[in-house]
Amino acid sequence: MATADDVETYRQHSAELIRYATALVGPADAADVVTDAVLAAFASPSWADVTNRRAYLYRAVLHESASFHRRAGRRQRRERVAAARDRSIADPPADTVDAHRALAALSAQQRAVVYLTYWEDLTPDRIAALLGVTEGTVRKQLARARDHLRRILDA
Amino acid sequence: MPEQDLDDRIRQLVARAVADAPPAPDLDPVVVRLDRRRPDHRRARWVGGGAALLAAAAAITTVVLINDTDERISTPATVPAPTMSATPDTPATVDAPGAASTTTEPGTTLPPATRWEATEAVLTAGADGVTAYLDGRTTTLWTEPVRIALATPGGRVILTPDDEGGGAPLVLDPSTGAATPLLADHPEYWTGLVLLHDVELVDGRELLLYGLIEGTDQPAADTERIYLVDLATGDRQLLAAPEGAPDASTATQLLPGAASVRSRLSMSVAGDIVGTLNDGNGVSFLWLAVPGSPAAQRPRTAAELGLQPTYPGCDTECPRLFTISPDGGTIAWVEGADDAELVVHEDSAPQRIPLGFPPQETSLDIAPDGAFLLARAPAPVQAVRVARDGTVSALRGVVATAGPGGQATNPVAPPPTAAVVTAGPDGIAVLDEDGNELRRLDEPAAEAYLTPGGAVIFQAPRTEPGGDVGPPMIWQPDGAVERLLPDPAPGQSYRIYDVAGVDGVPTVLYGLRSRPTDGNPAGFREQLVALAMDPAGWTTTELAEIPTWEAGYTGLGLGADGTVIGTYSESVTTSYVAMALPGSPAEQTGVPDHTTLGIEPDYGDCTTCPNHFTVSADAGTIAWLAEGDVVVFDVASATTERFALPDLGGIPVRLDIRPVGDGSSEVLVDRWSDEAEELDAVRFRLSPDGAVELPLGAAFASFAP
Repeated sequence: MATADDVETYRQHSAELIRYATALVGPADAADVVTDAVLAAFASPSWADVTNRRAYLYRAVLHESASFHRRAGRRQRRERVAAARDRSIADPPADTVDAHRALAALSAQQRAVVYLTYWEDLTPDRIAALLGVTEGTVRKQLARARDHLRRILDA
Repeated sequence: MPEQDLDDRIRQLVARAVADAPPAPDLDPVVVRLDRRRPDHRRARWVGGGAALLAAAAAITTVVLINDTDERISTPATVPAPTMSATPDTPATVDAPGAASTTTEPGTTLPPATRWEATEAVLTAGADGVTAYLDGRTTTLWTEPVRIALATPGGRVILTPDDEGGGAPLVLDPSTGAATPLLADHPEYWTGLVLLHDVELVDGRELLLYGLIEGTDQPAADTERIYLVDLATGDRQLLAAPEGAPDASTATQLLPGAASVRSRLSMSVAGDIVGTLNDGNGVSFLWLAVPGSPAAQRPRTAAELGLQPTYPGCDTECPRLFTISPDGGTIAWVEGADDAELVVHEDSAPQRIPLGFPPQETSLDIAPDGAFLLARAPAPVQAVRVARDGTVSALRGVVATAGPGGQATNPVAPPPTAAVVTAGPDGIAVLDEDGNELRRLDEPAAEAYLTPGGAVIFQAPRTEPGGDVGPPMIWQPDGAVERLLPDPAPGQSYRIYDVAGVDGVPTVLYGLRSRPTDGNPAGFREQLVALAMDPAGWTTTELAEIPTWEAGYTGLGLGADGTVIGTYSESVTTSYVAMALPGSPAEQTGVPDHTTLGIEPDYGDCTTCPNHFTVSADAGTIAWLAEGDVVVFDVASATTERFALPDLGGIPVRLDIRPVGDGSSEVLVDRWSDEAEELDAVRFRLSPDGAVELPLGAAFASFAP
């Protein structure tokens, strides 16, 4: 059972977490990802010892979104294999840059870094601290994400 | 697109995405769901794909995880479970002695059976890995997600994995499946973003062209530097840098300060480098040259292509995606929007090929047969082939690249040779001849063995005294960690003994141990099995079945000709074991028996008698420990040498040996240290001057085959 303290923590950060999750997995699945991430955090034996709960929840949402994409990726791969015989080059790709589709082309960690850079306006060192990775990783993922988005936006 | 514009557009993109955010889920349902939440530690079950799936995956078994909903995070710091995308689904066990071999399927990075000609190949890269198109056939070279793959003149493949770690480039040898990091000795590699452009044979040198974007605090300050690396020597040259960059003076050519390279650069055998540039004011044709190459004497210009020097304010309709064929005879590009065309410039008037689909391409290359390879965006990006007559056909993957124009007679410099693999509580390390660490996996391991293809087979330590070591795992050259064998039945466990390349096929020698639930001594058995990891299909062969009640193999070595040498202990008796894998060269030539070695068939109640028999991976040397010495038997000459070892200060548990040239050998002794009360390994060089200890520092170690 969640404690009153947990409830307060969730209320305090729910709005930013749902925005973050929306950037990571899209609006349709954001609520599920946040719910599962928060549940996992509250159920974790280490939750009681966490000092920076906001950072912990951000990482939990990122981790859950990565799991979500792995599951979705497996489903899509299965569907692609099944549909491969019917695939036709005549099917045109979408001709507008949809925000969620563009972000979906990035890895979960890249989406997180892009969101935190361009929405939260955080610097790489602060993103690194929030996500629990090195600053070099943040910079590298940001550079890769920008390169990827440049190609999509240029097209 | 100028960098600031890109930042603005990404910011708008994120704002649009976030604007769709739904309301945060209510807390009450969260609490309710928390009550219903149950700990679920059940193992995910794995099922193998069927024949159709197998065919679709180009003979790589696709394994699908079911009960997806069972996945839960334990803590945010938990590392995702390794993707077991190609675990053999057929049990590798055999039910009875002498049973027929059981075929399983190859693992993730197994190579094709035959080497392919890089110059004629087209490679595609995408979420399904790397596919080679050659002579109307497709071959899967790699099955993990890849951003781009380039065929080299020397017949290798350079690829960028599409992974969370940033996708450091790897060089893959398709004939062996071995993959090793590339550019790892360049410091920027660890924080910068490497963008592979092209590989070509220029003036007899196998050159890799790549861009490097170094991470900065301000994204808008990112600049791409263009480097050339000689793959044979590792020499790197800064080819082009933006004007005003700190190291611009060391670059042979300069780019406008605000410019960005819009698309992948291509390179010809003459040394032309062609691409598209955006200098902030517009898009233009970019030509660079390999310094000293024939192309450097003949600059290519926009004017000769009938183009303006620049196309101001033009992002989607102007000429773009410039590329040059490997032979340098063709330059092509895309222009137009809804009426997009491929423009092909050769000796005659430019040819225009209507594309017939929206120009959402991100990459253009010219195939060996003159067709064009396009990648279309946005997601899902699709690689397509456009023939000269405008016919469009889909390719597997996202980005397609053409093979090089030249074929190298100087292959890529071999990566440092792995000599030793160590295992311990702090992880697994692959070391070179000098003890330098080549690769590390931060996963505790009891034992680890390198395969000829560069993978590492290992088992996790026991979690409790008297318990079993962990299941056999394989650490692939691309970093993936997967189960090697299916889960054993209840009461069974695996024990890896050795790994070697037998007749050229990576082969794992292991035991499948059974413990009866009723404790009946007769039920304690071990099947000795050889797993041949042949790219055409994994096979298991049972070699023997032995009783293990107060008995068992204390160690076994495997040689390249199929010789198996080891020790069997029963109560207080120790025996020499020698056998040959069925169908191996050793079965034809025979294996040395105890008489040949000059020893007794067995020894009773003797701690210093011959023990810990083993064979070198090349099968040329048999060794054992006796009375504090290591005894080395040369199979070819049937001669024996003894080397006195320093006091080991503990109880030996395993011996390994390998020749190291000039007639000398090295041995590894894994021992139980009395002083430290833990396992550790010691390494000795054996020469006419005696045994000299070499630095090691590991709980367990074995030699590379």
